[in-house]
Amino acid sequence: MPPRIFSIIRKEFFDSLRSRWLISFTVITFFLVIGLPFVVAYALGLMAPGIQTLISGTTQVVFPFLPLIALPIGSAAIVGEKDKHTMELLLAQPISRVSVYIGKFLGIFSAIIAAITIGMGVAALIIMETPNPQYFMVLLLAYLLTAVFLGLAFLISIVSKDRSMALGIALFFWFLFAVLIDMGFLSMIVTIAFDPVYMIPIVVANPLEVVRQITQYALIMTPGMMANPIALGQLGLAMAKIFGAQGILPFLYTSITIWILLPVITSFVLFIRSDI
Amino acid sequence: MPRKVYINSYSESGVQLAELAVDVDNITKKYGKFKALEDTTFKAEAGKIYAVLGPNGAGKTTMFRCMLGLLNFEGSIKIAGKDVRRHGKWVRGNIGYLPQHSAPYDDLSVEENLKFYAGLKGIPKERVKETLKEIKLVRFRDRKAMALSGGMKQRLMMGISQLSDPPILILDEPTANLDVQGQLRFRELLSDLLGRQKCIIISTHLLREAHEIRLFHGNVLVINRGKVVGSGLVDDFMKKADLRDHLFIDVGDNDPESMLQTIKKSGFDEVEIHKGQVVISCEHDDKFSVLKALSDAGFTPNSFRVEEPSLEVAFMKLTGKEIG
Repeated sequence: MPPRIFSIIRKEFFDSLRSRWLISFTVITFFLVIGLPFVVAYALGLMAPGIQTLISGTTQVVFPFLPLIALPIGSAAIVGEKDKHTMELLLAQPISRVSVYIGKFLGIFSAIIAAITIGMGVAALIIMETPNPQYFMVLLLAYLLTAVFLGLAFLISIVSKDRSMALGIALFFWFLFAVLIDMGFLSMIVTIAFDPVYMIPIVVANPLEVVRQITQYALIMTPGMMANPIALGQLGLAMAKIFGAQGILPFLYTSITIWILLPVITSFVLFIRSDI
Repeated sequence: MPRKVYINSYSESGVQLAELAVDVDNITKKYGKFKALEDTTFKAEAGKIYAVLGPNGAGKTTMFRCMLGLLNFEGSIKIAGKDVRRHGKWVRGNIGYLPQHSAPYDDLSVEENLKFYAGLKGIPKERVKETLKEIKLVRFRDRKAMALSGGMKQRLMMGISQLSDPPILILDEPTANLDVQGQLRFRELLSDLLGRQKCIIISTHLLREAHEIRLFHGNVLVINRGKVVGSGLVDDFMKKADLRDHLFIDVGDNDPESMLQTIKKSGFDEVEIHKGQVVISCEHDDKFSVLKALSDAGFTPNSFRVEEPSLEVAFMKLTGKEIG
């Protein structure tokens, strides 16, 4: 007899896969990665497929949309069950709340991971023809970003009174991170008005930006470029000034880890302690 | 020595239910400053049925949720001797719960719903087939729950609560969505479950339902504003409310005033004449004495009828408010 938590993981996985939202986003992600103009240019022999172009394109175009998969699905995970009157019966079963939370998280997470892998992976394979290890790193970053926003979505789901409220808050967070805290514009203001060091908290406050910077420093820039102050850019220089050039990536990885853990732990504790 | 009953055939614990199945001891549940339950005490034994009666918002569902360890509370609750706080999973494994406003997963079929809960309860899938037969939904096994009628949904929910054949059943307003046929079937089910020594706790705000509990020699627990205001066998509960039977005697050709005096002389003071009838308020067992006194005095009444006090009147007397 498999552990009881697998019943929840399996149900959440297939429920999420059945969702039209996830299917639509798999298709959208595929087309965003493959990039129609890019395909046309490639077919006409005007452009050669390069991994740097692909990575850069994926992080700039696809990553801002990734939260839109995890946020709506995750924000319905808990409050949706309350709305549909299924939560009470679920929690009345001989299974701990820890298992319910973990089961739900892992089920939804694995469904989104599957969708991202298919959408981004297949598109990248078509472009690259052979799998590139660097692109696996891009996929891994997409998974991390999904974990961040799924944790945030669970937190929203637990504190919201109903599904529509949860969806509204979730979309606000996407808007906040993907549109309002736009680094291009903000960094310009901060650099002109203050010291570039002030850009660091702005980056850290936005998980999308943290992942973008990881892509930049881990995948696009070579070790040689990392040693070149001009190539590092304003933000890179500011971070190097505080953490050293070698400390930039560990700092960014730590930031994204905190971004994953903070909402997950908070929502987990709230879910376990709350009355239904 | 306490009687032990071996009941639970599907849960892994194979629990031996002691005579005292449920021991709710002095629990209080607060939501902010509002006390949903206050010093509530309730005991339930194996093989017996209990009707938890009270108006909407009285605290019935809150008490059930506390018993399942779904809410934080002050006080102590033991199920089959195990503390709910420390052995929550075990307790929930031995209670079949049918929540009042709960529903199956709409996008899953009847069979998928049962399989999902069977997985959570850790019981073999074969039990799903048996349950489908028991709840008479074999023909609808592939139908999505959203396409079921209210009665069918309720049967599915009952099936889920009984998947593990638990020794204790907590049913929160179980007949709320049932038609007449469904209610009759539910009564048969209760009879069957009691025959298997289950401890059944049913909440209801319908007095008619609580009256039916009387048929099973059941107990009643009346809750109002979070407090227990009465408990015991339905009959005892009525006595506690100090309610009397009313005997209506059609005087016919007899002189009503003479009849009234005769009854008063027999020791019954609460007598009056109302619309050509002599109305006597007396204890349940004293009715025959009244009729005998009249017969001995040579009165031959046309007819008589007895009006026994209703649970509703008892409830109103104890709580000062109507159920609803």
